[in-house]
Amino acid sequence: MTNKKIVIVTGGSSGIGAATVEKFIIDGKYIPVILDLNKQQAKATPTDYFETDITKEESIATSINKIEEKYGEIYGLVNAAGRGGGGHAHQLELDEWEKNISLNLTGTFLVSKHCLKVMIRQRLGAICNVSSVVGLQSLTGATQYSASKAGVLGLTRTIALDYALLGIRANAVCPGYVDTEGVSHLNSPELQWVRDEIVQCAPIRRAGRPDEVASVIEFLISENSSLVTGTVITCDGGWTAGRHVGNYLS
Amino acid sequence: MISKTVLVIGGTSGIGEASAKVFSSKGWAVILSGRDKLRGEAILNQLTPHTLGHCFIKADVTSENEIRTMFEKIRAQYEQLNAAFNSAGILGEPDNISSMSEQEFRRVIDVNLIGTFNALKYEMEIMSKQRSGSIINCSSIGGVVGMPGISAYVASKHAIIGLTKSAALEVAPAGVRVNCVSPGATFTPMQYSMLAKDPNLKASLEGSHPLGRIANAEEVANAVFWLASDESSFVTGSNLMVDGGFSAK
Repeated sequence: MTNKKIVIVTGGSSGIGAATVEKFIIDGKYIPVILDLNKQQAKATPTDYFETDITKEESIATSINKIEEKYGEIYGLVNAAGRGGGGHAHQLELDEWEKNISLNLTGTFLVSKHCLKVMIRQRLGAICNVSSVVGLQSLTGATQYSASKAGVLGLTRTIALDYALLGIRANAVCPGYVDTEGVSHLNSPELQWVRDEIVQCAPIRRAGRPDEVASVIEFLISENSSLVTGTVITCDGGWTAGRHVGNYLS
Repeated sequence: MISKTVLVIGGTSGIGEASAKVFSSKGWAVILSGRDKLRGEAILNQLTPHTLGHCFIKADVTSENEIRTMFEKIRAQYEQLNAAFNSAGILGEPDNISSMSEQEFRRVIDVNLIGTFNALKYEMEIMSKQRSGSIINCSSIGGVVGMPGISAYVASKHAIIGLTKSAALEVAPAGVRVNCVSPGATFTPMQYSMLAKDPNLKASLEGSHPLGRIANAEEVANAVFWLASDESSFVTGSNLMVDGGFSAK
């Protein structure tokens, strides 16, 4: 049929997910299959799309079944669907907490679960989860977001250990601040200072681009990372390497 | 035609040698450096030819003098240095700390840590002036966990991760990236010397890496190449584990 590899990208209609889809197309070795609630606008072929609610197991199972029926294999999975959110713990409503956990963490678990069943049969597969530097450390007020992204790292490592001998790898990327639709509200005049402050966390002193994260994801899915599993690549312009305290150098 | 140049220090064996081959196969010019001239020149012959030509520069990383001279040659011969991989390293004679000589401990720290520092110093200077470049240091799974009997190696590899992060912060404003790669057990002359000493080691190494095997040097080299390339343009101050899941446990 085709010698291109099928890679599922959740949240592939926007932000880092969309950049990843584009990266896979340019690369030419993959057919990206988007699982998202809305279809991406004009995008080059070959891509495929299945309307999926990542917070509903039934919706996920249906899409994965259709993909397996149509293509007969699932080589890669990129869990890029996610949402932001913040609030201080003592004021945080349970439903705000659950919105975040159910998409970012439970969604990643559910899509992985159904793809793993296929990958186990193939004895081959690569999973890349999108976590965040906020999953490694935190930002004030990032309560539910930080918890969900830290959870993704634990999930990633465990999947890596459990399926390593079945030829399945699992890794995570931890982006720093990246300009995407999801944080476009921070470009408003009132919130610009928040964006500036977060961007300053990175020694490289600029925001990341979605395609720069997509390159990391493509590496972690590709054969070039055949020995890399259970690990995290930070893609944060140096944010988590440490910090300058004072100006004793200048 | 890509016209990029990489310096591979410790390029005369193991992961450095494999990396030189990967870089040349991707169209880069390679400056190979190491202590063994014969071996260095033999490896040059195995590289994919490049219009800029590959070259071997004999240098011992523990000699600040030889390293300085090497960079003078590089500055004279090449317009730019796009990437550098500092992979020179030794294991040292395995021994318990209580019986290890200070001299032996220093020997390992000298090559692995001070050697990386010596190279880093000039690489950062050249690349800061260019306002671009990517440096990759070589740590190890021994850079993130302890290993009895090879304390000097482990201490040096832990230190390389700290050195990498500080270096990354110093040159980030100049657009230069510094990262670190941490291989697990890999088929290299260093590993063969260990395997030869213990007939059970191979099986236990395979068992301790979730992927159930020892790596080929090319697999580490592919990760090094990726860190050198523009594909990793927002990655700096990172330590990339290439360990088949060893450290996920």
